[in-house]
Amino acid sequence: MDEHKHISPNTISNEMLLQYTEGKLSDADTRMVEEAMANSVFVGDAAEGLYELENRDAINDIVGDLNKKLKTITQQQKKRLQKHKPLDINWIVIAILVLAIVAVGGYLAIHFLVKTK
Amino acid sequence: MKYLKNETQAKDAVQQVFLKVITELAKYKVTYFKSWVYLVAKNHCLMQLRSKGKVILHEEMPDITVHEDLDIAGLLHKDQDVVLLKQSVEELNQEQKICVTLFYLNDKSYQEIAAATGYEMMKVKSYIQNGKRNLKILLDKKMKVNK
Repeated sequence: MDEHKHISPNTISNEMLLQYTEGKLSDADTRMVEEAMANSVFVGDAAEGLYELENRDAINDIVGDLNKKLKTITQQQKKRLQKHKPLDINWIVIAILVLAIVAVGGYLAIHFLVKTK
Repeated sequence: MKYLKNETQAKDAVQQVFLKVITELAKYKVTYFKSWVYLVAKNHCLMQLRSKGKVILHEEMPDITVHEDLDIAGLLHKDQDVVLLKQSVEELNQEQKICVTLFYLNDKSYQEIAAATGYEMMKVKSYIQNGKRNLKILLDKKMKVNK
């Protein structure tokens, strides 16, 4: 119990849930996990899923492997998004301003030339 | 694992659900994130099972509603609530009544309840979960009538 004193039934850790399925928890912690299972179908289903797992010792490797794969996939997606990123709005505004200045400047120059002739 | 019963399929499902959550999260305003992720994951698993033509029995698939917490211990401190609670427990089906009583009123663990009743441990879990949800519905009805 001492190990998990800070844990409420709403925040059951993966480790605690795993220890529960292996029957390694104290009576008080077992009660806490079971109350969490009764309160949340999510926790209940997670515990049931752990029971289905043949090699529970490998769970940390499985989670690590999944995290690594997900990180790779999300980074690839991020790169793809950055490649096809639309033009920065600031550059569009600057380009419009430059065009406007050139147009007005051109008009004034032509106007001035015509007048001096 | 609970639904797919296959490690490789479960791993694939985790990846797909994770990616789905990332894309879908931008589309909706999610108030209860945990409940929402649970529903996305569960629906994904059910779709996988359906696409493989697997029949899902009602018994195996309890209500997916993530219910509000019912403070049974708190109710036991008020006399009127105790009467309503006892009446409601009596209205539960036999399995739920036994499991809820042993778990909440006699403080027994799932394992002890399984040993005493002969039910499988996961059935005990399911009876308690569903029993608690039904208790809340029954209690809400009774409290509304009393008002």
